[in-house]
Amino acid sequence: MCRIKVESVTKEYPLGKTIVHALRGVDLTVQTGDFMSVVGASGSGKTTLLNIIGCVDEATSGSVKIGDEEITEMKDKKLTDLRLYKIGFIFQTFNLIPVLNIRENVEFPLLLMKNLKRSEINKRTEKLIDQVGIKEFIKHRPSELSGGQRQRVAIARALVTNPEIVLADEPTANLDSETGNMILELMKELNIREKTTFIFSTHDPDVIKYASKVVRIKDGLISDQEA
Amino acid sequence: MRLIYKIAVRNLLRHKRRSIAVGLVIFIGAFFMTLGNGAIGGMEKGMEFNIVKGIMSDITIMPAEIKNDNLISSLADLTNIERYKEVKKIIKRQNDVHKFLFTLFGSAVMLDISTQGSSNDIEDIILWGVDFDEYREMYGENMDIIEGEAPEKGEKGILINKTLRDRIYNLHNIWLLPENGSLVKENLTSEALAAYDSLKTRNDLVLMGITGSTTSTDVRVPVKGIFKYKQINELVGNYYNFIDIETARECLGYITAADMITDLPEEDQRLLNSVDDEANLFSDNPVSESNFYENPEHKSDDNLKSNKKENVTHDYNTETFNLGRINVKQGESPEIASERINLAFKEANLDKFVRAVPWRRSWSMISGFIGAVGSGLMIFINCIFFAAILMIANTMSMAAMERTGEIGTMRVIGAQKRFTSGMFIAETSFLSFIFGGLGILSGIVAIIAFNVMDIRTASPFLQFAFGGNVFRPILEINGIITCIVQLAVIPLLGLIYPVLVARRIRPIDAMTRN
Repeated sequence: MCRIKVESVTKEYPLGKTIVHALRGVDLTVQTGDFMSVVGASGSGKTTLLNIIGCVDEATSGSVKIGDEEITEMKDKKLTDLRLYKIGFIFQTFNLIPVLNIRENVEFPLLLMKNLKRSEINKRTEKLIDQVGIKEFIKHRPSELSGGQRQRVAIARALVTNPEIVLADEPTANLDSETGNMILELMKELNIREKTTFIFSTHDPDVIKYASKVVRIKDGLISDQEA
Repeated sequence: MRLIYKIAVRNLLRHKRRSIAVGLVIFIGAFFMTLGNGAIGGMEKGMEFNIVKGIMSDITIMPAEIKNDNLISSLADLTNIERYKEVKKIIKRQNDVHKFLFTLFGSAVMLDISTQGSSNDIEDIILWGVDFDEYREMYGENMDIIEGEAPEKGEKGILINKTLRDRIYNLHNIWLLPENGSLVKENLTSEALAAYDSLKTRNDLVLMGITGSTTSTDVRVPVKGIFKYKQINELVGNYYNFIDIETARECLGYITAADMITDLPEEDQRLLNSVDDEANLFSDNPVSESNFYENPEHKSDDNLKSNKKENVTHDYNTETFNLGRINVKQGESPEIASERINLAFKEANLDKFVRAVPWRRSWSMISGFIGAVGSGLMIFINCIFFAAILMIANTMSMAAMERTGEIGTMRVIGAQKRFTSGMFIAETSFLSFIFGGLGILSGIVAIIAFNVMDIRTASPFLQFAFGGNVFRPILEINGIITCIVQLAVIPLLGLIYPVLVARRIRPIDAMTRN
């Protein structure tokens, strides 16, 4: 089933007196349960593409559909709700909230959701913390964890809302290769078990081997797609 | 909400320096606002008791034909209050009136002072003709007679304010002394003290009333005493000198009690009538001592004496007054009370003769000064208010910008803009509650301390600011509520810009920060 459909998307932004063409007309289709890797060199446009798909950035032109919803015309409030309920994010730099402990970080998106009972929040949080293997650090603050542990927390936070899509921007870039592989295996496992769609960007060839689909991007255009 | 508060409190603890910086601003703002409000409250209360109720009165009753409310500029035009007894009855009936007193207000030239000394200026004096007993009853213990004493009832004399005596000496080299008084060194000005051995003294004044007509009389009046007000004497001393009511009437050209026609016994009237009747005067039965005493009523010498005595007893409480002074009851508004009195005058058809004017209008110069000093204090408080807002706005905006990554991440995850706004509001609310509360408490302690310290001033400007000679900021529940409201408003106003900054942080900013 088609989850995401990107058509003729361009993204331009000014940089001083020049206009940077980050995306020059991208077409992409993502199916439910895909474990897709967007590959390209730095500045190729892969992060921009992920940001647009994740409703974090606006396309200059073109159409982006998540399910049946056209997101390019949505207002901020609705886009925020869409991110909360349908999309999970894993950042290269983990982006955990420093003043919250691990448990609180994981349950954070659930607390933003309305009409969710405390028992349900606890159940989901504990399950995810358990799944990503950080149960013993539940009371710790992010600053007390290693990079790999933080990324596990980020994965738990991204998945705790049962999103349809998880977007990960170079999730292993700040991790050593062993930890990076562990994270990717965890993501893959969740992808298989929960049927969650994963799209992650990378320029590391070792990471690409985990992907069920690879999209190569160069100078703002998709140059190649392979399954 | 719990999540917002949790994040807010932890952020405050995480960024201790910033929290303390903002907290200190709030503390200082709350402290000075509490103290400032206390000072303004103290000034207003002091003004009310020391100046308005203690010296000027809440309401002035003046002749209706005087259209100018300002007493000083209407001084020469004041006329007798007609139908005084009815006016008095109406005032007595008012529930909001506490005390009242009728006086004769005017000014006079001090004739033999103005022609002497080194200055060519004509020296005038503002006079309040009063019954001293009534004055004391109304104004209580607001004055100290520092030399001599007040005239007894029916006795002629003047009480001069110390400020006026000092001025007369500075301009005319004449030092006024009460009758039978001697020089009191501690009351002399430094110049007078320097010339102690050759000091020219006087203990009477010759006054020529300044009136709209030319019917004033020159009167010589003994100086009975020198007084000063316990509070703000330097400010109002020139406007207040008290003279016995009869001399005031004489000086200012009004009918005196002695001038009043008294009710003669019937027989005396008949006698007078018969004298006036020319036919009787030249009749065969002229009035003579022999036939006068034939009347049994006239046979007793005692009776005759008592009749004579009755004729020379003056009722000083006659209708010859040109100004009424009213103090309203505690908590009553002089403006509202004036309106009520004027309405009562209208209902009794007395509005053609008299009208009531609240002190802010009748003493517009003084009320203007009070207003200016009050405004000055308010401006000072508002400056603190404004500075606090700017500092909070600046610090919290920096905090918002520093936390772009964190706020952006929250937005990416699904936090709405109101969540990030709420975080900043909660943070500042906590700081306001803790540091503002401490500031208010410190302000209260400072107010108590200032009252204990009993700080006094002789400076007229500061006397206005203090509402008297002593700095007595007061603690009132209204003042504290005002502080709390200000404390709530300051952070909110200070937060407008930082909240806008935080709300403008886009999810993409979290990504680009990385």
